[in-house]
Amino acid sequence: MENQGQESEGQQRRWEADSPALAGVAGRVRLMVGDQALGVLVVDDGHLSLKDDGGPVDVTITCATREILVKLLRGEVNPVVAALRGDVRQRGNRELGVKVVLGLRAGSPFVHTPFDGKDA
Amino acid sequence: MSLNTVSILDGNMFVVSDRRGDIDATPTDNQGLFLDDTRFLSRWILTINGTRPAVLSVDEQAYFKVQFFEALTTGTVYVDSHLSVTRRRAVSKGFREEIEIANHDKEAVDLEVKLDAAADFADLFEVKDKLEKKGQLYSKLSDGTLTLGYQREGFVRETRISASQKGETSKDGITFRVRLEPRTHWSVSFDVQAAARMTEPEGTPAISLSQKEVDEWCSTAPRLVSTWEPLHQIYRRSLVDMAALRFRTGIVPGALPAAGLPWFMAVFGRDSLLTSFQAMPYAPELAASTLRALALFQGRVEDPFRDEEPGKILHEIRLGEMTAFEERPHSPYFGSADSTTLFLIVLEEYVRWTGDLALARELEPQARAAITWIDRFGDRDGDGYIEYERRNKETGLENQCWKDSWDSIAFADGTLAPTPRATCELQGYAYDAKVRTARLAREVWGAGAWAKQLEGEAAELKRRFNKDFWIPERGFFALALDGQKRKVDSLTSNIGHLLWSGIADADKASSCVKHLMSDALFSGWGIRTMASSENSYNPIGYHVGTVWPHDNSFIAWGLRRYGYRAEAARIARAMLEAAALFNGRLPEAFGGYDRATTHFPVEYPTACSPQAWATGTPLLMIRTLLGLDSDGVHLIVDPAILEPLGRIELLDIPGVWGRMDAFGRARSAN
Repeated sequence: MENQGQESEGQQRRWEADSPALAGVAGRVRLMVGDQALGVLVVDDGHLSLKDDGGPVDVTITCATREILVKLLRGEVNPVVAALRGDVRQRGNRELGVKVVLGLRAGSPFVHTPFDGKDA
Repeated sequence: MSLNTVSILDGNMFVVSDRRGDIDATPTDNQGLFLDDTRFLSRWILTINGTRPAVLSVDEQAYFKVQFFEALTTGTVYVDSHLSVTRRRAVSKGFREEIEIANHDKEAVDLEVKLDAAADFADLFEVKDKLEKKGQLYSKLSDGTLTLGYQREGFVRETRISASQKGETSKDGITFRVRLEPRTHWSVSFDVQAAARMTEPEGTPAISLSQKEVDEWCSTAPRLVSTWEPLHQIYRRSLVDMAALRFRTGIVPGALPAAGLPWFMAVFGRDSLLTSFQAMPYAPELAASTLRALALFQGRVEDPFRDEEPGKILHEIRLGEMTAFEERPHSPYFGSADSTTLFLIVLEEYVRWTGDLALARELEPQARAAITWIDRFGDRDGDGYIEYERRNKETGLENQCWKDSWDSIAFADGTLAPTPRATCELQGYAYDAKVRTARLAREVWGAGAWAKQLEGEAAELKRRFNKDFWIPERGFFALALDGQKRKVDSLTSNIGHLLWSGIADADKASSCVKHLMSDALFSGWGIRTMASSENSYNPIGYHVGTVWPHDNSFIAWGLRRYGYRAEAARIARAMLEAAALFNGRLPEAFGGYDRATTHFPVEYPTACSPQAWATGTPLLMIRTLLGLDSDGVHLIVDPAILEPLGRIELLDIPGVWGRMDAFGRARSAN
């Protein structure tokens, strides 16, 4: 993967990377753990940026724990299994949500990204 | 389904009860309220003063609602019953049941009316395989609502039962004490809700249909007029059952056909695609939803547990506990060697019928990935043929063709063929998929060079197939090449699918047609899955002798492709006559007994009904009789109809032309 785990934008933590597995996919995904919003994953034809952002989104993915969220970003989550077990819920454009999770599973650029503490 | 059970359904939620309306699941009676492959109610028994009413009659009003008429009998014909009971049940996000008890006596009566309730939350796989639960069952009472629940880690499923009348609620049901005056009646209604969704409750997982909505669904389909009266009932039943089997994923827009009641109320690649093909001239939107859903879950990685490979189209998605904990691989499972080629076939058929170029453009990447799968993963050993062998040895499917039972791929002497198996119809589908994809590549995607390449590959596949699979001494194509590249020499219905795909050379097709219409294969009601001349033949063997309606529908359509109009019409007529004897609803399969020995087709004991591709069979048979096709611009009509079917009119057929009519009538020359 290119541009793996770049950080930028001063105080705001932000990662950018490319994932060929998400080519042709575009949309904004809010990531939450419980009722806490932790950021937005912006997908733009295979280019991913993960950032703090309060803007509108297409779909919200809520994970039961932070650990599950990190696994999801690293492509270690099967979306069907996670949904059935109550680990992951989606609200909004679920087709996009499933595409993104399956795309990450096929090739996540965040496999080695050190999501530490509160920044993930 | 057993004749002793009554089923109502709505999407992938369904209720199976006995003819009283009671649910009493046992290891041998798979009754219950089911949703998402989980049984939410395993016991639901009505007693009045400790006695279960006797059933008088059952009124199956629609696929989603039913009435049971009952009486509290005295056990002797000399004393009339004075208490009658009516139970009205409708399914939708659970079910609602109204129970009305009437006292016809001149005296008042005191009654204890009790509904026993319990839920075992069995996964459908557990029901089938009789496995033990690993989580905890619980029940709780709150504000008159009885909640039956099950939890295993984050997997929580609940059934909530509430009543319109105040009763004594306990952990095993609700009891009412009623004094019923002479000539009066008393009623109570129950709401039984199943809580199980894997997503937020902003959409409904199943379509909740009223009769009006069913009528609207039927009215958007073409109108059929026939001088053969049973065809009206068969056609109407097919449309209504197709409506019942529609399934919303809650993820992609629209509805697609689930495979069948009771075990297969789920998305299946092969079943949903073949059913969509059958329904193309009637409800092409089913194909669009099916293609979108299957494209979304197209394989992306190599995952041996799920038999997943990049570009492969799924076999089956399940939503029960065993899938959630990866004790079964259905999240999704990809153990199907034909769903990928069928995906391409249905995509081209859909675009040619509807002119929906937008969907064709949207799915170009998935189509390209599917073609890559055929050549790279479908052909496991580089011999140019698709063959299958499961990588999940514990819970994967051994046979990954449509005849997926363990003993279906056998030599004429009955010996099972070793894997990997390259069944003949898989090669036909691959040929057809490449020919059709070439058309899309050239006409829609502007990829002329790729189209030429695909056509070249298809032609080469056809040339080699007609050499490698042909058995000259028997005059038909081998059922398969086995793991040692030997020809599996039994005579089966699979050769009919080679006509549908167009891979058979004309002279070889002619010889196959003689076999298909021979007494060994054609029972008089339809073409058997395996010829009666073969050692494995069993008239009630699931894939080794029974007659499968959908199989016949594709064979008949294939016969038309090769110009065998009369033979196609003969099969279509036989199958429609069989449908009439099944009250308009063809089952998944029926016995392979010769028509000369029975006046009606013999039922197969565990056949699914309604089943999607059996439901679609009359639709494709009518298309076959009228010779309906699309050239991408016009509707082609070329009827070939036999008596007693007489005259058939199909009005307002949707397609790229808008709406058009087709007419045909039987001619003696046919």
